[in-house]
Amino acid sequence: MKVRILEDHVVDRIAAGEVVERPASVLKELLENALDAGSTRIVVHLERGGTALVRVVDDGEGMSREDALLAIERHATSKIRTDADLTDLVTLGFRGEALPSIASVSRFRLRTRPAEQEVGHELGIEGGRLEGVREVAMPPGTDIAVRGLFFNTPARRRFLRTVPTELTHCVELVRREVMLRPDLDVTVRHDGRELLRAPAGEDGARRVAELIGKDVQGALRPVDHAAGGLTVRGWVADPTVTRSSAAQAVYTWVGGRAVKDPLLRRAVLDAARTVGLSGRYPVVALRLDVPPGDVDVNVHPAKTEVRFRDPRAVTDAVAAALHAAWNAPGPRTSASPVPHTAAPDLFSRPARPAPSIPAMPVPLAAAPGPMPAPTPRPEPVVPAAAPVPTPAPPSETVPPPVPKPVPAPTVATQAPAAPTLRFRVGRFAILAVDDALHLLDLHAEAAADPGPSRPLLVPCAVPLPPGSMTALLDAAEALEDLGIGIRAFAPGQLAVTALPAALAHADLPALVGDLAAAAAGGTALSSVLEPHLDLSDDALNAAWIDAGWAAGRTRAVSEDAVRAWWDGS
Amino acid sequence: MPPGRPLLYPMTVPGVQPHATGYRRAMPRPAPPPADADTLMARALALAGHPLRTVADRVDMPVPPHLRRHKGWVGQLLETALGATAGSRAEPDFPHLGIELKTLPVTPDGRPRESTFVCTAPLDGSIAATWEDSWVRRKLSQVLWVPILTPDGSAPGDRRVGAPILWRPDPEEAAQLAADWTSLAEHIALGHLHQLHARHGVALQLRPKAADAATTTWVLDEEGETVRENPRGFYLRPSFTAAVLARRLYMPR
Repeated sequence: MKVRILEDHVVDRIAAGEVVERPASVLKELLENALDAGSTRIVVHLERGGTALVRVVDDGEGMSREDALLAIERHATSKIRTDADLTDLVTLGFRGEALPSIASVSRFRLRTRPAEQEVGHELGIEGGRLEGVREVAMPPGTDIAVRGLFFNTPARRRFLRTVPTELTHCVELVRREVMLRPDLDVTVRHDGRELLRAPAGEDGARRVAELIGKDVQGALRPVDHAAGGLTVRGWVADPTVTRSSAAQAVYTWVGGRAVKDPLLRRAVLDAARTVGLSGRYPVVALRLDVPPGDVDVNVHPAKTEVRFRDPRAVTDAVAAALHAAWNAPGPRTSASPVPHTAAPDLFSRPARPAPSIPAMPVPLAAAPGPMPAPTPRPEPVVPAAAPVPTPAPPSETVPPPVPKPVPAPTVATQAPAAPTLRFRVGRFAILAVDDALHLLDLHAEAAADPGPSRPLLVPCAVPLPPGSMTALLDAAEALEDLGIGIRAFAPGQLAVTALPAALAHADLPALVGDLAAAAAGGTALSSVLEPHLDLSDDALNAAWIDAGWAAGRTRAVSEDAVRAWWDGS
Repeated sequence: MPPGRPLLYPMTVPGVQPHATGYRRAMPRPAPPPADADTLMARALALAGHPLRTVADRVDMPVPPHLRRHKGWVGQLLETALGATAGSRAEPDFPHLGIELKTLPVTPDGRPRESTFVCTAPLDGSIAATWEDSWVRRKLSQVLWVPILTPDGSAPGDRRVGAPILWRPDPEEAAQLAADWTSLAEHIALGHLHQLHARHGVALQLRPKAADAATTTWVLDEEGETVRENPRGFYLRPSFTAAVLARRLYMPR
């Protein structure tokens, strides 16, 4: 007979190929079991990136001896009973194949004790074979140690990557699993050293900032949006804090399950595009709750992908939730470890004589409302005469504003607080300052002040005739005020040593030639800058994000400019 | 006149070129030590943009055709031109100013070409107990970074001096260095040298620092026994120095 039914241990090893790819997938299964057991404190021990040991100790409800023995049987689970339960999953695990699969390719030790029993039980399994069961003294909870992963499947072991790579996967996994659970106390130790510690009872924003990165501290806004039985909750950072890859920016959960869903990532990217973030991801930690029947999590054994019954409703809800959060007035996160006053650091600017700045506040309610779907060109911002002290919350029913003539600009009486970028549309930026919105014409800004100055990596020598050289060196101080550093370099050569942001990549011989002509002719040096300014999105964004160019620079835009923009010219 | 005898060592005479390649030409004329940090910065700024050949001519230092046998030449040239006095002693290059000089070869787009040596790691059990007392912290408390534009295959004399940066680690950089040093020092102190690889550390790494693998030093292992091992040095990773430059300079596009 050629066709045979495979023995159970062979089936387990084959199943292990789907469930257990690497130490991080073992950790995922163990962590999900710990979370499903209602644990409040979880300690993860790793050795050599998890290849030598993955151990998860929790204080969850634990199992009796019988349940523990059943747990290591294939397709034994406490989480579902019938196929109908598959459509109404509330737990993270459900397949009942994780533990036996892991145990079949490792040296596996399970210790568990329910709170109501006085002793726990320890099961030792090596390569899928039960070695024995004995009573142990232990605190209530479960302690599973997986040693020597793939010790009996050398071919699979060879596919493991280096220790730092495997460790990165493990730590990233823990981050995702616990980011939105500030009630959990989680510790990760690697080779005896504490790698990650997230104490219970933290503020939600603080937990997210600790796990994603310090730069989001103080920039997080709460997200809370509900539409048609679908809720989106979590945190989003201001559009000034971005990442170039989704893996480091977009953290999503569906019904408490950490997922890396392309649909959700695209929804976030689309929402970001409408606030001027082109090709960059805003930092988000979002939990979606969908009615259980509207989402299928049984798509892949790793359960990192899900399938929605109505994908369009999901993307719309994510976009609306993000816009509502970005539009919401007031402080970002009250319990943020970094006080709001720290924002000037981001927007601080070296002292340079501040020009008198005409400000043009507009009420928040006049800002573009939340945009349910990304549009190529958002509604125009209509400047009004005075700020509204208590702005109305943005609502989907706000009609699109109609362009109106721009009133005469008023002069700011005091330096405005650090602005927050709200929207960026082409050459215009909309900033929130003191609960009012301000319009900033970036091109006009660039012409008036080409941004923060920095030295060039290597000074650039430009040949000049002696007369021009003298005229420019005489004007060195005026050039320095514009952020342009020059010095005599060699006979007949002038070195450009520093440049402002908007000129950082200018054609220097041409720029120096124009400046020399202006200096010799006695005309204002700033008047020749405009053709050389870099007005690309990248340059303007870099100026905001790197140096807070816009700080205190809100400026009225001319009526003609708004009209020209609105007319599409 | 008594009969001539060979000298024990041949002696070089300033201005004379006894070497066939013309390399050993003259004794360098080092600049006097700078009086203060401003003077040092002004000297470094004056060098910026010039090729190393011009700098070498100013201090009468010969320019080697390549750096295979003169690995530390660029650093020595800048030390000479800027008036550094410490040489290879375990103290900052400008001890009276507390400033360390570091040259940093960079690609034309501003990426560091290699990691930056900080100091040797004491493996004999004498490593400092805390970051505050460590040589790494002392060496890095204030650094004059001088990028050296080093295109692929460029001759040493053609490389150009970049804009100098007088750098003190900001709190975030200092915290990262301290965390890396603490982790590395713990392994060294416990004799777990064999567990350490260049992969450890985000900003700071530990790597062999010797002419070749045959060079060894006495090391305390985890049993407290002395064994022979390659000497190690603390190095700054290129990713760290790249960030230091990128935050302070505009890079060519």
